[in-house]
Amino acid sequence: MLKKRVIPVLLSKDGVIVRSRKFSLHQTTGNYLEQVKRYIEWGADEIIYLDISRKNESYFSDNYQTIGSRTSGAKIENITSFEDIIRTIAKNCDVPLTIGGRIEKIDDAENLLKIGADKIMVNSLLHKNFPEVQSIIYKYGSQCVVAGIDVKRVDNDWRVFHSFGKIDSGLSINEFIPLLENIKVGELLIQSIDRDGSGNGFDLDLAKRVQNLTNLPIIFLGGAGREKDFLDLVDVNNETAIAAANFFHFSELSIYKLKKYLSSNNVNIRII
Amino acid sequence: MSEICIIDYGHGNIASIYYALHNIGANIQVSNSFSDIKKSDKLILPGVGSYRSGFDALKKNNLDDILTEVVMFKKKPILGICLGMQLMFSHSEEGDSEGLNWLNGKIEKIKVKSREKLPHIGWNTVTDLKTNSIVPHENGELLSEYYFVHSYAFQERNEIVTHWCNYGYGFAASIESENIFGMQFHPEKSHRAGIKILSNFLKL
Repeated sequence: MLKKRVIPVLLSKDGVIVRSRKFSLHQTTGNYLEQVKRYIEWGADEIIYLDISRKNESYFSDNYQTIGSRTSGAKIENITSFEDIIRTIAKNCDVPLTIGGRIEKIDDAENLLKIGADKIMVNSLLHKNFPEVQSIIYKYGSQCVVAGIDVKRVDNDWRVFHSFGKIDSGLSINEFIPLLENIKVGELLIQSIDRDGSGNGFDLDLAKRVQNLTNLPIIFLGGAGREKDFLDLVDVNNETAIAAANFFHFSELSIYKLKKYLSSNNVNIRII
Repeated sequence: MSEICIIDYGHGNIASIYYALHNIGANIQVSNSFSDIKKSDKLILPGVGSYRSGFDALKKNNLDDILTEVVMFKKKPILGICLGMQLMFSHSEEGDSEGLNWLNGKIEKIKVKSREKLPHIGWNTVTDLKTNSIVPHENGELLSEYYFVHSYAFQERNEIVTHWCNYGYGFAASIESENIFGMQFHPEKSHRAGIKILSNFLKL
């Protein structure tokens, strides 16, 4: 039987791992490589790594020098670029790895896939250059393209935003998803901007809304603060994969414990 | 040490397979040249993306003939992964394309019963139909789950099918036929259980 996927999300800003709140406040947290290794040991079913740097890489290349020394003292060698980070993670990642952020053209996608991404996530590109996303899907297949959908509650509906949640696309989630189905993206990563970093639980109304909207696999992100939040999500929508960033980051064995908890509540999960 | 060649035809997640093999100490070539393929001891045919573009890419590099010679006549062990396994069959409904035709049968879109989603993405359990020489067991039990991502599959339960996955009406999760091995799931992305398959293939 197909298992419910539990997916940790790592957010990287200016070369370091951060936590996020409502897409705006970012605090530095730690070493991405150690974190990825731990997550996999704890039973992460996939890893999603999102780069949310606003600035050009040249502005923060110094940060790369300090990576690795921050939490564990384990220095990672020869990191001078975003690509080096991805390569280092990919080498140590024997579960699927999705990379998102900074993908503006098909060459960017190709490059990421070449250095070890299994899937790429596009978000703003869907709004800025839709045909380019189509080209990526045509060349590399649906299975390797995840569409990122960031939504905010507006007038009792969910509106799709892009460019770090700053620009309102004017489209409701009901209008947007069929467009993505048409071009055959492989999966949807639906994130609630309102709940981002809040720890107040997932947006359950949103989860109900998307349940009957599409037959595409969905990964649901934003708001997890307690183990019970995940169970609440499963109760209203048992079809989505569940993702979190901060929740997994700050407690020892977080994924392992959550999976045990879900499993003991009869959720069909992969336990290692 | 024996050398393994990952066939590079532009349609595989080569980096992931390379890293996984590298981590277990394999001696690896990534190539599409006849001489490399001929001199290596074992082959891996990776594959992601659509069937037709995958098969066209094999043909464009003459890899259909080269591989058929070393696999069907020289009997070199080969492991096909995901689309790589599917390409070993005669035909696929996806793009109505012919395949390498080493194995009889056709690849079709997964027949779903009701609400099952496509693509079939995630970790799924598989059932033993027969022993597969490279799929590990512990105390007679099949090891855990494997990671799948695909919409098409071989859905006939014939004599080469060694593991079955119950999604929709079910499909072949693994096959074995003499020197030919195929996995519909991704061993390189299936954590310990998957890495064990790769290491068993290396030891063959």
